[in-house]
Amino acid sequence: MSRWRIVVVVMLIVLPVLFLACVGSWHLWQSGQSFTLWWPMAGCMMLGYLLAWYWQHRRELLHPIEFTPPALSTERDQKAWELIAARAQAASQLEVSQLTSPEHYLQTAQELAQELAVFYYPGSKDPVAALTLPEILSVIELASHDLHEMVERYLPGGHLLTVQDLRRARQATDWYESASMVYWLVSALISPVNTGLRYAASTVGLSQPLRMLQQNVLVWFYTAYLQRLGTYLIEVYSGRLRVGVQRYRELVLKEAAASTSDGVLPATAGKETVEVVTLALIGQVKVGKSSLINALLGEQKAFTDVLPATQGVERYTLKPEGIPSTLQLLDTVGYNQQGPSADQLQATQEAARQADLIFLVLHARNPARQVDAQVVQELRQWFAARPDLKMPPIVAVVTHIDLLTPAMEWAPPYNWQAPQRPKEQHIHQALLAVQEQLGDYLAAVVPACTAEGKLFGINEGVLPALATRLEQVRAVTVLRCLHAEKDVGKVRKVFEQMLAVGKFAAQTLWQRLSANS
Amino acid sequence: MFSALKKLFPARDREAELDQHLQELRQRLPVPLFWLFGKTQSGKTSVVKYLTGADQAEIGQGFRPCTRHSRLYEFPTAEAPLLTFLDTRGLEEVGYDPAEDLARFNEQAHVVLVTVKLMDHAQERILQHLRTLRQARPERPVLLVLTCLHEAYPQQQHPQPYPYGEPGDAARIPEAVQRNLQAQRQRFEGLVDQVVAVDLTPPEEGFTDPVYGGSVLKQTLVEMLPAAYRQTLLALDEGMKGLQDLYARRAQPYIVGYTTLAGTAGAMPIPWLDLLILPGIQTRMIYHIAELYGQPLTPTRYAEIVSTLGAGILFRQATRELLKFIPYVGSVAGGVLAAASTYALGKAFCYYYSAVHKGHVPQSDELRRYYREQLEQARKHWHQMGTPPPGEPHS
Repeated sequence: MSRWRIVVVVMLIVLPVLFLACVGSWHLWQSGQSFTLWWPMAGCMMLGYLLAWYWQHRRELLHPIEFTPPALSTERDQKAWELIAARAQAASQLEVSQLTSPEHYLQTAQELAQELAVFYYPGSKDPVAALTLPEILSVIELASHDLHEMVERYLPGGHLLTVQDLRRARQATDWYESASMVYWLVSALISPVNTGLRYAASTVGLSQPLRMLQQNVLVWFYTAYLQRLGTYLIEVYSGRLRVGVQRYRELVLKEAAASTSDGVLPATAGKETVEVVTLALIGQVKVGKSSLINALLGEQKAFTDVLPATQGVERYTLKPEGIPSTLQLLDTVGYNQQGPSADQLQATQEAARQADLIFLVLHARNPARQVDAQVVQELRQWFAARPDLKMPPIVAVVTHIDLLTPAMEWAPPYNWQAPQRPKEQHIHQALLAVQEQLGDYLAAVVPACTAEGKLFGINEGVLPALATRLEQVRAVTVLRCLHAEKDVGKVRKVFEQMLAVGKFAAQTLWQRLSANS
Repeated sequence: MFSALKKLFPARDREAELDQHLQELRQRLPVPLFWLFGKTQSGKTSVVKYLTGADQAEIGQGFRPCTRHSRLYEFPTAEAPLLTFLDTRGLEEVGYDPAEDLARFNEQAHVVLVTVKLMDHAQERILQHLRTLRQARPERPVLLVLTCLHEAYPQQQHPQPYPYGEPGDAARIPEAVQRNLQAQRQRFEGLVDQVVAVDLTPPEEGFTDPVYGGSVLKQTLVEMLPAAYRQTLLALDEGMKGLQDLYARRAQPYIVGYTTLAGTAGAMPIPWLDLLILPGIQTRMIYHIAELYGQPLTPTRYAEIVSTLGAGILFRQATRELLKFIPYVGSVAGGVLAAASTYALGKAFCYYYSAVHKGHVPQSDELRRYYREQLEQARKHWHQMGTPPPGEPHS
């Protein structure tokens, strides 16, 4: 349709309405009711204007795009997120023409890919070159899929929106202005004073929110685009997408859906979670690691004694109430004694590296904890050298609180958070001391007594500390799974491809040979 | 009167001279040095507390850093010490090397006290450094003190009577203790000469016997010390017996400390030396006692009390110096006199101050009688055994 045809059509539709408006206004003016009716109408317009302005301002019309790194991020990923967030910040400065041009989106993607590649592989000459084709395709597939869902979910009528529409939105605002000018002129003829006032109010008001609305939709889409693209670029550079889209979706997206119920991503997957969470108990010799395991299991499974008893890494399984995962407990041999061999200590460290959560068991009455600090420090260094893994959170469990002053008293429950009694105060002090010594490494510090018949702190401190950290724990688990699987998969694929090539070569050779003979 | 005061409160240059003399004297004092070896909270302070009778805060302030990794506590004061404790703080630090402490204290340390909690088996680093210490001087006695016995029987009182001394009592030792005891003995086999099990607990823990095994510990330590050094520990112990009054108990180590110093000064075969420094030693002792009793000491009051005790002090000292010209006998007699007069003076001041605390100033003849009594007793004891007499129960 050409422009004049549209004008004709619009005029034909609008003119009767305008005519009605004019006649109505005239009648109201004649009958003297215009003054009483004007106020409700003006109120409606005022309210609409205010709401439009407020929602635009608060960005509540569209679901805001968040740039907080997902739980799965390692420290390196979090830094990468800052780069993406910086780009998103700059989006509001972009012109409408840029926001509506597909070339600009492509260019952004290339720039972002390059920027992140340099970040992940500093020093490499052509960082993008190391990516495999399936990986790049995975990014596109995943990002497009997510964007599609976001647009459908949050942009009203988004499924009908075309690029043409977005471009025309700009022209539409201009048209609106021209149309309203005609309206004002007509009404000015009928009621000059009233119209003058309303015109003034309207110029300040309606056209401005409309323009903001348009800009907002575009910026929102662009930001969402950046966020999704960034997410998967990070995933590809950290090597997590190497397992393939299928497996990645199974492991990661299910987790994200389960943990972020009101996130940007729709909770399409079920409530399935990572089933087994591995928990390693480490600590100096005779601090009560096996006793804590027995207390958690609720039965005497781990062998305990008044003397050091655990010799290697022992495994136990637990399904506690209120926690939607099965716990695998790793009991380790205590350090800082002359007994265990280097192999056994190696096994302890290995257990800590494999764990999703570490319980650092500490004796409440033995404040010599430099050795613990050293062990945890080594563990941190080990993880620092592997930026694609996330260090499991460490919860300190302070045991043997029954031995704290006054030693002769044992009358639980003790409220160590708001200490009143002397024993409570001493428990509080003991926890503070741990916080002071090892606080940098710890996610939480909880007290416990695991002596037979004096059980306290498991349901009050240890399990709640575990439950509140499950989300963090899941992230560690997923990363560990991806890390373990990606290289196995690569080797297997190469092997399969070689086999296929070999088969083909053998066939060709066979054909040649049989042809020659 | 004025000139006498001047002599009793020497000017600054005299103070410096006195300090120098005291420094030389201290080299000759038989002060035992205990090397405390153990992890944080393994009971080191409790052992020091038990041996000295000082309180927690006093001990905490008393320890002064001496090397990079260790600190020293000279009890009761650095000026007139009776017992010295060396505490190796850096023991658990990763890069600790005992070489520096050994270079400084290997010759001086008489006994090594290894404190280990009975149930604490994380002792790798302690063992490692103890081996070095042992090799540096294998003949020096090492005592393993196993502490916190109650951790093996939580919320129960200690088995009474103390069953860890006689072999026949082994049946009454709780099984958990017995097995841990065995394990610790094995661990420290060849590194320690004796093992003592103690449980020294603050009263708020709620044990009926807060110094469980303490007397065994003290007895073992006395036996381990070289003969000459036993005296100091015994003298302190003797002096504390029967002292009920808190102030008197706290003042006693100072009196014994300065008495030993005065005795050593008097025994030096140099005539007139002690006449020069004895008033200085005594003034400082009185100053400390006055401080302990919370009574500011003014020159007037000092002069008042001293003149009450007997104008003959200076005269007696002058005759004593004549004795020194007769070698050996003279110096011993001089030593006994110097010690006895210092001891009696210290006790007399305590007597005076505790009377003041109770609200009456003692009559001069009452004070003089007490001083003479103490002097006579001290002279006898010091002469016989070289130790000051047991303190008077006055409270």
